[in-house]
Amino acid sequence: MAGKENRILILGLGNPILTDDRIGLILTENLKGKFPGADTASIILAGMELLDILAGYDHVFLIDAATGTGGEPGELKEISDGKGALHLFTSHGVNFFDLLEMGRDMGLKMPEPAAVFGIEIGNATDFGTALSPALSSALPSLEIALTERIREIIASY
Amino acid sequence: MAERITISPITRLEGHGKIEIFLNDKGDVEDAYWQVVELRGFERFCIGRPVEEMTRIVPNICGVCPSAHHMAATKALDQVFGVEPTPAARLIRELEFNAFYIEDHYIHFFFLAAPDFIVGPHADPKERNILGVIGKVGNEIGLKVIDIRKRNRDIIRHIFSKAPHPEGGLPGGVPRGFTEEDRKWVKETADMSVEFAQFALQIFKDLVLGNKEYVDLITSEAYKLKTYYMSLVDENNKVTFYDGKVKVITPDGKEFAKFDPIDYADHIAEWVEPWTYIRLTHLKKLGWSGLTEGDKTSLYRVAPLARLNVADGMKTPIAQKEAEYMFEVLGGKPAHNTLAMHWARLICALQAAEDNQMIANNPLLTSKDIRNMDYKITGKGVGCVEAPRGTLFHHYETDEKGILTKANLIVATQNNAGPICMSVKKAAQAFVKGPDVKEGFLNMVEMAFRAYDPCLSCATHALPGEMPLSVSIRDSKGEVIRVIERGV
Repeated sequence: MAGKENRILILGLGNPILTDDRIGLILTENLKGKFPGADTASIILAGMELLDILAGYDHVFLIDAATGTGGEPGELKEISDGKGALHLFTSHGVNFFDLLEMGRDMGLKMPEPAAVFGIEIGNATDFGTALSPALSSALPSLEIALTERIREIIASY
Repeated sequence: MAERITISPITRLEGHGKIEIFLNDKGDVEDAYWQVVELRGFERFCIGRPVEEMTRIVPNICGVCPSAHHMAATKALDQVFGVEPTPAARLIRELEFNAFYIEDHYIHFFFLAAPDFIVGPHADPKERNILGVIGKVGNEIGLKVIDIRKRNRDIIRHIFSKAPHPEGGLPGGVPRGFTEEDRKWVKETADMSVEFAQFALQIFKDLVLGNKEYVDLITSEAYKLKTYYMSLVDENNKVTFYDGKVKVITPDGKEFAKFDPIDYADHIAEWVEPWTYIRLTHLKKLGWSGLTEGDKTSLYRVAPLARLNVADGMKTPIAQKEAEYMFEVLGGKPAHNTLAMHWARLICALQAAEDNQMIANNPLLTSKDIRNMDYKITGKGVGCVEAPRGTLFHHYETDEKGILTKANLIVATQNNAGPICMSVKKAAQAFVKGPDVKEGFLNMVEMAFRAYDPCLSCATHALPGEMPLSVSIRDSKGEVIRVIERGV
């Protein structure tokens, strides 16, 4: 898509008012500007709206809250199939992976998923803007781990 | 031996929900319930905040209809701050709300309804999704859907800074207006939206009405439910989306009530049942009738078919002709055919597009007078819109400084919750015989609630092969004797 100068997108997903659910949004915001040539964006949920955001990029990193990954709250996992990620699948639209396929079928340039990061969360159903103590204390180390891993993957391109 | 079948489509954000079907000793359906797990503490989260934050908070409570909550909140703020939006601001809000209708209704029709009617209710679940629809109708139509939705989202983004989750709603106005240069692309979008709406209706006529099996389904008793209906109507009793009076009709089409939204609590009551977190709404003057239909029910339905049933007609000319044709095919008004909601939805999208054509040509669109800031805090506001899924109420109360002391929401899906349970039961009674039920028949049960387009866990189509659908069959002791899972 014309106008997209960077080839790499870091995309955060999450609901800003559902406590730990917003962890992907916070981390994405904190990673902004750390990787020259990479853009960052945030969205509440996968769906058709992502098509406009994704089209034109070569690679996309996804950062989402997750449950059932087998880890403790605050633990980071790479989940290539997205299983457990809370916002890649929607009942009212098209999920992230099918969106990529659909875009390609229609002749659009769609990015390859560079990595899907899922952060295990404990609290998924209470309204609130504060992170739980577990997620709050894990935040600095999550940011470091994500920075190192994203840098490593980008260097391999 | 009594048995229980559970259909549990678990999704995020819209909530968690499942369907439970109880079989009797003969293996026939005895009862069915649509259950929802609630996200907790919304009112507590809101109280103590400045009320003007609500237009930024409420779009996040629903991944499906953020613009509807945003607009209801904006209208509630008008009342809390004791201010009327300027005529130009009202016009611009109507433009935005119509644009939202267009993008919302096509998502539902092409992504959620079309898989059942274009790919087929018994088709392989791996193909019964949007990719299957595009495979049937062609890439070109897929690109048209994407383009028309994007163009209408650009209108939302222009006015309220973000789409699909707007956050710029202000009491007494809108944050951004239009120039004469902008008018050109708004008009172009409206013209294209009208053309596309007619095209979508033609697809419906060709592929759905042209198939006797589908017409038989739509008109079958399995998908009929006789209830009261509720919708907003304008000053001429025509279908309206942004603003109007709330009108209720009886199951045989007579006017039962017509009231200002601020008086909603005099007409709508809520009932608590132990098997659901949703407070079941019903007509207060009739009292709780339980899950019944017909003359003795106090349940009412909202959403597209309700709008067309309640109003004397559509606001715009082409939509009016389409509505007349729909009622002719369905055998008159009111129509109780739940699956006809899909048809009515396309007609509402057409009205929204036609209305935006008129707005695009209105000289007021480019007025600079887009905010009225003559604020005087009244302490109470009830914002009501006819959301795509039905009538939506936001009721806020504040102290003298505008700090929230109360927040109560009645959402479209709540209005429809009782009828959804009954629609599921009727479809289950028609299609489920014993525990060895085929997936296609379970899908036909799901079609009954998918027609309402509920905001909570409603679809299995978006996730080919991966939809976390779990069907558990239990014996009378509660032990699972069979489990059918897909994508869990």
